[in-house]
Amino acid sequence: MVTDIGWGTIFRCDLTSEHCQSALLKGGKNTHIYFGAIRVAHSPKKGWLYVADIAQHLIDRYDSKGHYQDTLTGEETDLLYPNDLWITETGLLVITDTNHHRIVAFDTESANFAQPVWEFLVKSDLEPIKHIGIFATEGFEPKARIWPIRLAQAFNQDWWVVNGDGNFFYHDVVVFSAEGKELRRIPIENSEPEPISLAPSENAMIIVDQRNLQVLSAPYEGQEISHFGDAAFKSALATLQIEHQNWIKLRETAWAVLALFVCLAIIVVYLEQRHKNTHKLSSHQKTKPFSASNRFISDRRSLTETAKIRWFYPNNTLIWLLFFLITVFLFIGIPTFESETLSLTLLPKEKYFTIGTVVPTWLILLYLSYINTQTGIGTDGYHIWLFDHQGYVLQESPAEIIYSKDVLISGEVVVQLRSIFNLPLYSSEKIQQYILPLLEPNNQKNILQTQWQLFKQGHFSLILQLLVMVIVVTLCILMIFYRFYA
Amino acid sequence: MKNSFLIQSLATIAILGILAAVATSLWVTYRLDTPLGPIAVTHSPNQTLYVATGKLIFKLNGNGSFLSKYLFQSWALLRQSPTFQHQMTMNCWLLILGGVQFFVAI
Repeated sequence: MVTDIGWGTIFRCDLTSEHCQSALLKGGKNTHIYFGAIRVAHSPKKGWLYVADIAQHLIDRYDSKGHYQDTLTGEETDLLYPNDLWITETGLLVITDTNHHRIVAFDTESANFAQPVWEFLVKSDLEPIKHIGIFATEGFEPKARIWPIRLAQAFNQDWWVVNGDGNFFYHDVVVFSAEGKELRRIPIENSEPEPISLAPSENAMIIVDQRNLQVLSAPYEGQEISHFGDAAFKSALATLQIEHQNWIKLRETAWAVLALFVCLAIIVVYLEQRHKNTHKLSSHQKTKPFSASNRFISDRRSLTETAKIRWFYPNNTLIWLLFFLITVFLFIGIPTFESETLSLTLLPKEKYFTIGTVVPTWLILLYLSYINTQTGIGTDGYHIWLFDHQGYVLQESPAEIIYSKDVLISGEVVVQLRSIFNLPLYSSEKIQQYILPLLEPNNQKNILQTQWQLFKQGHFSLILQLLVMVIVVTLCILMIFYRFYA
Repeated sequence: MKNSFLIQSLATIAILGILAAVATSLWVTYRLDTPLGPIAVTHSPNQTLYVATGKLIFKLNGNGSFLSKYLFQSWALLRQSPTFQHQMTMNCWLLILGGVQFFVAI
């Protein structure tokens, strides 16, 4: 048995042992890797295996052992998104040429394989189906469902075709005669069915409705559609439907819980504001506010001259080190790991990954580098002055610095900065020499004790940052471990 | 200070609760996007029908009588897929880079 899955790989599965082996089809244009969806059809006469590479508009042909033979390109066959394949009893390869709205057949035995034998359009003359449920808006014009995505030939030689709309959200099953004449549309009950697969049985076509988790049987003659399968099969499907409903309920519950916690967060913000207003710093702790504590960066120079402030600026060594490491990692590290089994190389097809990763990374690092040159900390010997990347200068007393939530542990004292990750960006010697004497000493012996002390005082930002850091690092390690060793 | 501690505890609970609820809803949304029910049907020359669901493959005869079912370890299959391996590798790098960016950004 051969099956394909959404990751573009083909497996040979032994039904007895329930074991599958990857049938790597080597030698093709794209080696054995297909990106995106593929479809497979097997021609029993010669044992050919046809693989439709849908996004690339190609049909690859392999022999029964999985060795690549040749490729029909979209240029030769004029195919645009061949979403399904079917082999007829006479050996014709029939393809749903989706974006050309047609069903087209090729003679696989012919030397002139790329020339169509016959074709018919699936542009429906039937009235479009009216939407029901939330889509039943008055004046809503349903899109024509003329994009064929699946097909199967019934035992009476009619062609059953699943036609989607342009967005492939709504689907019809339409029956065409062997000559390509439109006969009828199959009426499927239930809200917005999504027929996704067809298979002929002796008297009826079996239709899989993915959205409603049902398998239907539509007779070749007549309109009466029934659920396919005996009680055991229907019971198995019913179990799946219940599980599906449970997942939906869980999602709704998660949304409700989210709403509750958002409400709690709003209440907390209110309580905190109220708490701040009722617990203002006493007059002896509070420095008289500077007449305009928020000043633009242009005032920094005048402040330096008038208030004799000594400013300290972060250095960007760490940022530039990150630049260097990422560059080395992406352009030297990854190709070094190249091997056939691990496939770590950035393939030519996947260059957009490089562009999509490296360019934003560099832009963010450049931005961080820029804002770090715009930020700083300073002191006039009595107060601590901060200016942020937007150019605002803030003057606060050491007590206010300690009171504020966003704090930084630096050796023996606590300093307010943007985050703990800015620590290496400042000269610790200068900070210790000029800023630290203004702040109250931290008597805790190590960083954990200090953090616990801060935690008890209500400084949660550090804990949260460290928690997130631990989670992300753990995830990275787990992914790498699972990827290479599991 | 006690009030402050209470407020900050509530704030942490709110933040962690929001994170957990968002993570749960994202996970469930992802899970609902992964097919659970029937996704494909095919027939063999002897008129046996195979219906594939997200987890199992059911084998039935032409009139719908259940014959047997098969469980293929989808994760084991996925791990064999070169495309999946490649995608996971890229996700791995992206996660690492994203983590680096996140920590630098905060």
